[in-house]
Amino acid sequence: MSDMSRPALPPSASAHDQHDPLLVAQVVAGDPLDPATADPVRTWLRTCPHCAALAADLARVSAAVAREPVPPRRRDFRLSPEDAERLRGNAVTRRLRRLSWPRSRAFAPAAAGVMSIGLVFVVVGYAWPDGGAGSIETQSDLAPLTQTMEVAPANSAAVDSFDSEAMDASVMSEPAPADRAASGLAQKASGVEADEVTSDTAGAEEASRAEQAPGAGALEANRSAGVAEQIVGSEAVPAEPELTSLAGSSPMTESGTEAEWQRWLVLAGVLLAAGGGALLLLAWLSRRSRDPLLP
Amino acid sequence: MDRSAQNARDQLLVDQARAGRLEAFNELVVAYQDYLYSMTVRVVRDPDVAEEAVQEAFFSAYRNLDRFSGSSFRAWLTRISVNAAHDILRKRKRRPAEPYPEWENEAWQPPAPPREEPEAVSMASFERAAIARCMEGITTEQRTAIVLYDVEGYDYAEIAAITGVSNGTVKSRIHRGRLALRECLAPELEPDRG
Repeated sequence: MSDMSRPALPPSASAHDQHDPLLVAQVVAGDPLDPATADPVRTWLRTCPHCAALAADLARVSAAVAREPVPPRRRDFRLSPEDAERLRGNAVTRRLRRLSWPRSRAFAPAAAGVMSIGLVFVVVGYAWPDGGAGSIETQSDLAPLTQTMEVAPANSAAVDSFDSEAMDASVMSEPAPADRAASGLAQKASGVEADEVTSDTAGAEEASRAEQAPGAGALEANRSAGVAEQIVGSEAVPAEPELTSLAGSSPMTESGTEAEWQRWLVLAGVLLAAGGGALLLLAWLSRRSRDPLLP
Repeated sequence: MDRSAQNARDQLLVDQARAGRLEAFNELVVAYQDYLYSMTVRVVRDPDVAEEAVQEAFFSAYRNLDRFSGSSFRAWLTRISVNAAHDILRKRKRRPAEPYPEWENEAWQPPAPPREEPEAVSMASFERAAIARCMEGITTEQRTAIVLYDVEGYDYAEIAAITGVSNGTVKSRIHRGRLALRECLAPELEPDRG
């Protein structure tokens, strides 16, 4: 090359093999490097003829690229009125183009995320494990429970145990170890889930067992029996007011709360899913109308 | 004309073009078509592709004048043209078989600088051919960064904004591209050493 003449290099290049040419290129270009990196490279440039040659070559290559001529432009790129009319597009195209915005690529996943969360809410709301908190409010839901109460003799025993021993149990302060199961059952009975309601048959059995183990367990068993009576309604012996209060909050009240909560969950899910879907559609329209060549 | 005066003039013309004055946009085209074509043809190494890319760039700029909000119309146009060029190259998925066919034709010569000796002209022609061959050998991204830096005079940050990558990536592309060019040009460089 006409402007690339410089002294010949010594034949040995073994030391030079250890020198990073990228660092040499960076130093030659004047890139800011920390001294710990730049100083050794400057030393190479002074002491290593190959690095010095590389630096000179890079400068010359850069200059040669800048001087490279290009073939002349062969046409005029000015727009004709017909081009302009065509490029403007119709009213719909112009509106769609206005919809596009640079961040729509990031916007679409966010919209999809919102829609997914909404769908999850809807699914969770409908497929809640208790089969719908409000479902026990209907007579048809109560029927299996009533049948269970009628069929199982233990149920009447539980009711009897409530009458005969509830007051004794109420004065006990320390729960007997044998009552843990009954206690757990009472906790369940304070809920309103359908499977818990059906388990009240077992609750009655536990109450029967509690008769054999006097103590606080009787109280707990009676609680569950009391809850069962509340649910069964007029067909069962009503629970004493103070014992009902011992059993915790009213199951029917909790049932209503949970049902309401569920309804809100489903409603929120539907709104989120619809909103996310609308935003996703908007993002899609935006992407379609967006010019891919734009920054 | 310095950059700020250029930007002020461009903004005025853009405003007029937005108002529907096609002549204002065509003034911008006249101001930038030579620059845009020479920059693009250096990047794509094919005059046909370059023409197509520049035309697409001006079309896209006209369609989207409302979206121009930057300070430099030149840089905005450069980015659109670079995107168009890369897009076309991706679609064609090929390298030009005969880049710069004008150079294959011995009759074509770029305008020689005044007072240049015939020997220098011949050497320059040899150098051009070598540079053209080696520029084809590096990646489109490296070539774009080198052209914008060495030829058009953009700094790292401007190139990063134009190409949509980080400053570090721009530096890396430029340096690796130059090293690759140097290796490719080694046969041409060697005789000068001895």
